[in-house]
Amino acid sequence: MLTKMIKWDLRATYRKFTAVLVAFILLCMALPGVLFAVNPGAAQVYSMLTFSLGPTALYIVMIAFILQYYNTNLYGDEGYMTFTLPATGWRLLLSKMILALFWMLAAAVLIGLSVFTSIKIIESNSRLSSLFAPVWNFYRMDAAHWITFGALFLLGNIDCVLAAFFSITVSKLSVWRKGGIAMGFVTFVFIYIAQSLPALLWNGELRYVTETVSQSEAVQTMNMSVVCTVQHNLISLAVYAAVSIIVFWAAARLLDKTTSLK
Amino acid sequence: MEFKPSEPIYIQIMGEIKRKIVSGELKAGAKVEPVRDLARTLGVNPSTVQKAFSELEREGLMYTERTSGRYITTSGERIEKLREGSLVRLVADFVGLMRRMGLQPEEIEEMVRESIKKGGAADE
Amino acid sequence: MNEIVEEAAQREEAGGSVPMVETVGLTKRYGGKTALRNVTLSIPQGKIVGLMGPNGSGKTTLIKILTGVLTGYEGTVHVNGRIPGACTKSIVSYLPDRLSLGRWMRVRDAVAYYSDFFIDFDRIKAMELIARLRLDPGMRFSQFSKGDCEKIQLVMAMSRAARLYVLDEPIGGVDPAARDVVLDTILTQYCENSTVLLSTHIIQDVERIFNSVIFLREGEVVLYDEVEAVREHRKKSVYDLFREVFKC
Repeated sequence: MLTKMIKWDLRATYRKFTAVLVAFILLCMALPGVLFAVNPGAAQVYSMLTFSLGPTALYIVMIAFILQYYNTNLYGDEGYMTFTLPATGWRLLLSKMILALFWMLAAAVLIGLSVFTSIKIIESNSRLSSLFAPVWNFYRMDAAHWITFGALFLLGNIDCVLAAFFSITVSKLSVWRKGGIAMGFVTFVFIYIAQSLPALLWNGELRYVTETVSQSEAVQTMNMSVVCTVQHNLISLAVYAAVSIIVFWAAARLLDKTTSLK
Repeated sequence: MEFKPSEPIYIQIMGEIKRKIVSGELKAGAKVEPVRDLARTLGVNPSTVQKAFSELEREGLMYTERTSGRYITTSGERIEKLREGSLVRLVADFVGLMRRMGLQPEEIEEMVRESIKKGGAADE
Repeated sequence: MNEIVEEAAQREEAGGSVPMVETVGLTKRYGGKTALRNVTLSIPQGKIVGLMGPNGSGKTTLIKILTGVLTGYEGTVHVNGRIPGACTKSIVSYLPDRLSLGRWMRVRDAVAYYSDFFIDFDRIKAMELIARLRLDPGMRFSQFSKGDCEKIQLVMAMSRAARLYVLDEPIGGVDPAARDVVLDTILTQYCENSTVLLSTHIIQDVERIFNSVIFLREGEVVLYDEVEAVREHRKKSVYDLFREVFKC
């Protein structure tokens, strides 16, 4: 049942998602590459843009599409089909999460390749190269770190998506009347706070980031702090996971018990 | 088949079958369409057709062969009785109508004779 | 022909089995509005039942509750003895009043989809019906007219060997020729094991297909009777009675 659901979710979404990924490949890999052959200088400038903007834009678009699909498939007209399938809520939810994982993995691979391309292009200019040195050092982690970082990054994203799914479902509850969307946002923020609580409480975020300065000085992303937090604080991870499990359970229950299609 | 609104449908189905028996469209001993098929043809709920058949069976116009289905009665007598009955009713309705129009019995007889001489209404 | 044996079995079964649909005191409130008010019904198996009432009378609400796309009601609802949920969804075939399949799907995708999720789906019958309706299996829903989309959905719903078919206005916006196909499909699919609940605002010429009809007004059941009983006792058709009750 679950595999069938994933299969159909993929079939429903692949057109849109592959179009976005292809656009990304063209804009952030093919175009710089071609440009480099023609005008290295322009290519280097362009690569500085695609280096950071590209992945961010792709990331935002992918998440937006994933959430949009969740909303349409469950709460649009398609919901009349989805909620009459002989399946329980957790399967519906898990299917969407695995779908999200799949597309984000695809995006991650392409982002990696585009970053590599950008780096190669930028490196050809020694002045820019020195500017970017700290960033290089960050990316020059060994394979083990890369895998850990990558896996946790993806898990963190899927978890974020799960929180978003839950928030969307909460916003659709019939109890809210007018304030549904607001309640959705509140829910999302609440989950974020709950998950960051240990790290915030220990006030250790900044400390942990500076401790790993050997990897990087300049880069302080939230996900970096996740890696650090994991490395240094298992309790934090346990809380994070517990909140995620509760959110999953709650979302599945809501999907089962509170369907209320217009 | 068109159905009148004020009468149960099964009665109208019975009436139609009886008409066909009288007119010879449905011959004695002929096999009757199964309930489902007739229901589909008429666009009617199968249990309505079922009821019509049951009633016709009760009236002796149909019978059931356990393994092969339903048939119109083979009894020529029974069919004749039905025919007579419907003809008598037709005439009674006619006479009643003429009387209501104000005609006296002798006038009705005269008009009937005239009509027969002229061949009556054209054959359908 | 085992028709006679079938009929006897039908009479037996209908006598002692669990009603297909049973509601007791079903009430559904939406904020200030009460869509269904103390609805108590029992629909036996093997019946074709018409659900009738003006717009806003609660027909769609009742249907949504039975099919499980609407929860949060007062009272009890049982479909084949169970509360609407994953188990009932496997034996209930729902035809909603809108296109519920992705517009990107082709007809044959829809057939594959139903085959995947419903074990009682008859793929061959579906393809036959689609061919009979002269619809191209390779076209997407986005390319079909609204009427054709409705027909395809109906084919999907009726190609399942479900215990309960719940059809929301299947003959509303559809032309008379297609209407005949709809009714014919229902009668073809009919079997003693399956029950059909059909909501419609077209009554004339359609009432003959029903065993019984339910009249809903402002969320309440104002009539639940057999079509033949209405004709016998009230000397009028369901259509005439409807017009009388709802004064239109």
